[in-house]
Amino acid sequence: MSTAPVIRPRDEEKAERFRKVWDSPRGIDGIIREINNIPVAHRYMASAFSFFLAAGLLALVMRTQLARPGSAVVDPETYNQLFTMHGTTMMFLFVIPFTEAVATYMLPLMLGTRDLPFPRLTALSLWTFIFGGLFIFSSFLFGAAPNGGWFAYVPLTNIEYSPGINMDFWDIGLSVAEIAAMGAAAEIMISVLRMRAPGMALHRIPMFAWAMLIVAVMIVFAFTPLIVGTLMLELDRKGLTAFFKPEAGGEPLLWQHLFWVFGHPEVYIMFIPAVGIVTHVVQAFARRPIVSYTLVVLALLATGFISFGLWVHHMFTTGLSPVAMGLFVAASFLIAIPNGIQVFSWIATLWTGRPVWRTPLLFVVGFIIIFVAGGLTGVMVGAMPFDAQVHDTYFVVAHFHYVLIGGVVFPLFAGLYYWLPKITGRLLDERLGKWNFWLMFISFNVAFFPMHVSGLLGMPRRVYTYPEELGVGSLNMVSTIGAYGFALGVALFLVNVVVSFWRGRPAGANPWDADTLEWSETSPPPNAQFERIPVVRSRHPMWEQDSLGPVDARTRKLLEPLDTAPTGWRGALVVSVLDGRPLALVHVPSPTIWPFVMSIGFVVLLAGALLDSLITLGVGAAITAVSTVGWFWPAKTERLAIEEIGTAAEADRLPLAVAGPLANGAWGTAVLIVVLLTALVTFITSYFYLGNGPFGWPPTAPDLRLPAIATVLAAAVAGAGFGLLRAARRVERKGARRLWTAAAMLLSATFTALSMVAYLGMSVSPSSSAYASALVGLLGFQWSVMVMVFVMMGVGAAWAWAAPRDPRGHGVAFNAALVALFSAASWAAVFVTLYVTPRLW
Amino acid sequence: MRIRVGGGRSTTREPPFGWGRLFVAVFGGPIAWSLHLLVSYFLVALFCSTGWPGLGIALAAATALAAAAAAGSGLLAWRAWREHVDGQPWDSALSDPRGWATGFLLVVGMVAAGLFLLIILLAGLPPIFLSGCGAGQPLAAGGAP
Repeated sequence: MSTAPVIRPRDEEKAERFRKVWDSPRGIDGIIREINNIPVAHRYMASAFSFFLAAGLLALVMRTQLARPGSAVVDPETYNQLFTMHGTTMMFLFVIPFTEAVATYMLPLMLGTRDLPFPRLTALSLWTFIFGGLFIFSSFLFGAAPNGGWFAYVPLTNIEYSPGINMDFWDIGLSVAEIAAMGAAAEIMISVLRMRAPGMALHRIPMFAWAMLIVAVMIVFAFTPLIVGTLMLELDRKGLTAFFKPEAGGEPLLWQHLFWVFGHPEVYIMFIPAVGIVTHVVQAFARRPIVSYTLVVLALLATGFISFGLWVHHMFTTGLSPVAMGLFVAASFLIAIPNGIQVFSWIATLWTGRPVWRTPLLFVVGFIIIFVAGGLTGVMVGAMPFDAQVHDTYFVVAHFHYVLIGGVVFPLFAGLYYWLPKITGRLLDERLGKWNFWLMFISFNVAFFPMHVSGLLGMPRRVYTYPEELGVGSLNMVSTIGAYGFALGVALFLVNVVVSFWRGRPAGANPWDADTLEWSETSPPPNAQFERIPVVRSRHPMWEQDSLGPVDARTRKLLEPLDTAPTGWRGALVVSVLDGRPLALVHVPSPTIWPFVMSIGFVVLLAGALLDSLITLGVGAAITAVSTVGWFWPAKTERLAIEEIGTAAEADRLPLAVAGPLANGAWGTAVLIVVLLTALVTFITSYFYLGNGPFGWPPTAPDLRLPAIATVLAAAVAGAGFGLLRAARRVERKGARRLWTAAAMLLSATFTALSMVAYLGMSVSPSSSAYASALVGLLGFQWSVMVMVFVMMGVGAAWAWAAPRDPRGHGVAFNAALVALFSAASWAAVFVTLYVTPRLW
Repeated sequence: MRIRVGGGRSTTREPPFGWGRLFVAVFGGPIAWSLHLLVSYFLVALFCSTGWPGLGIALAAATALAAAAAAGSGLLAWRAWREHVDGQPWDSALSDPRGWATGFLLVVGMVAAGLFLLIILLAGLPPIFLSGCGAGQPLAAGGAP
């Protein structure tokens, strides 16, 4: 194993200009203009970790209350708020954002590129997450923190039983945190698929990148139903709809389905990144490649799929048919197979390697032990009869803390001990680290193992106290002592980090002699990361490659425009998805204030929705609109980039990708379409679920005439989109581009107006029945998509008129055309659902 | 997508066959399982709300179809492997065909097909032991009159 040398540039003056382009913006406004992945990830990690500490403190208050039977440290209402906020914060404000933040930092380094594909979106995700999180926590100031449990079951969370704005804080704040998570997911996906070092074919990407790719896809499919569900819940709470209200034909179980169709994949969304981290730690400290990379990737993929087929196991006591539940029992048992593959692979790697027992590896071993225990109780509660006995008891609390603290927190700590030297440039103290590990490991088990027993003895979860006669007093005291020990362990970690800032030994580039590309850079790495793009020929480049430079003349020539360059703008490389062949250069945006402003707009919108204030909503919409214009305003640096490189492919010369399928923008639009498609499927499934599909709903089929005309218009929108798609591929076809853009705008506006008239003609109030709610849900979705087409086409029109020959305008048109095609397909599905199926039965 | 490699002298396709074929070869097994779960769930809802007989047979048919689909995707992956990857030079340090992400994905697809075939067959077992709709409520207890 040799450490690959980092090639130093020869031309220092050019290198200086190159670094300057990537420098963080200075001044006070520099803080909010920052968009580069490294500084943004610092803030992302710090804020997510702060939420972890806050949620931990909430848990300590709960444990103090439960230490003795019948104690009154907090009253029942406060206790409700504590457990709701503990769960919500840990899930939505710590684990997901924190792993995404680690990915934001590490992925470009591990993949050998210079930034994520959409840095402005990175910054938007960060600010939106911070403001959304503070928004939820601000509820404590009003004594109105969410109190309906982290899964917010209806009817408890309906307005009748949860009056006050507590659950509105949850609903609205959460949607924003989810949008931030989806933004980060889109970035991660496109980053792993397209922004890698040349030669880094799919079978050579680091396991963490595989893990994050799969997680990002899962986030898109899992978070969308939750966003739709929270929207329905909020509308119900405002009295506008009746999705979950039985008295109007609504169905509380629909909420459980929507929540758990998100909630179970969520468990694996949290766990799969841990698999990636653990794999890297095991490889680095066992001093050998992971045993069966292929099978571990397969296991991740299989886990990702199966995790979507388990949600009903959270609903075993809701009275579903046993045959239906049996299907989910099978899936719940079988997900143990891929998880087993991973665990055996790590054990085999350690077994056949030469393990070096440093702190990161200790955390990994702790993880394996705790996670396997949690997995075994998972198989137990996966069995229906057993689940019926322990449902909603402390046995379940013990189970999921074994899975989540064991399976997520321990690997994250392993990852922190492993990667913090890269991030800060200083090593953490090994002795403090070992104390940290043993304290956390032992006190975790002290805290949570007794909960299995108290659960079996009949202690229910989410109740603020218990009677002495239940006989779980001493078990609870032990749990509380363990919880305080665990908190002490976390405090030791913080001490270790602070001490290492002042006294830590310099880490050097590769303190662990690890194998992946992030260790080829200085610690901490510069914003630009790789001054020269590394070329990868191995899965473990730092172990198996003598040099990270190109070996053949053609690759060298292709990558030349990126050798400590470009110096006037931020540039990076995109490669082919499968084999990582260089395809094009891309322009990476420079620092800008607009993501920050847009997130302010979001927060004002939130406050407006919370307070039912139309003025506040209007101000929020205005800020969002202004920031959207600022965001899409043509950047001068991009213009320079196009002039310097050109957008046409030539032999041995990479083009600059600004439009069409080669550009990242089109890939981002594709992700947007997948999100919209998932939302559409959620609305349609909810419609049939509420109406019981073929079994007699609605009473009379709605009138067909206007919707039929709307269908013709939607087909015409598709036609315009198709024409535009063709026109957008050629710069000289500016006339056709203008024509199709104008046609699409006119048609989408007419469609929306006509379809609204058709709806108003039905004169149904969405709050009157679940049918009307589901109808409005689907139509509202379709109108939103059409408005999106109109706005995107509007941006395209502005480009087409102002700068007809600018290739960037063609990119805008191409993306708008893709959404236009989707809008027509989506209407076809809505039309069949609302107007055709009632006539079939 | 056609990409020029090797100093512009030769061209190679990535993947060497269609994207659709690669997609089915890699994801066919998992998708067959997903559809099996959804269709079975729907069948239970349908038969239990209408009181139609023959739920067990319908579920068994769904299982057989899904199993065949998973096996088929595995076969597709194997044949694509034989046709395009087998016999390519191997990189001994990596135990993988040199530069061939397609080969790697096909191996993943073959194993995935086998794993999901097993899972589909096991998921098809409960209806054999649990017959009828049981004491539970119909699945979709919505606004039906």
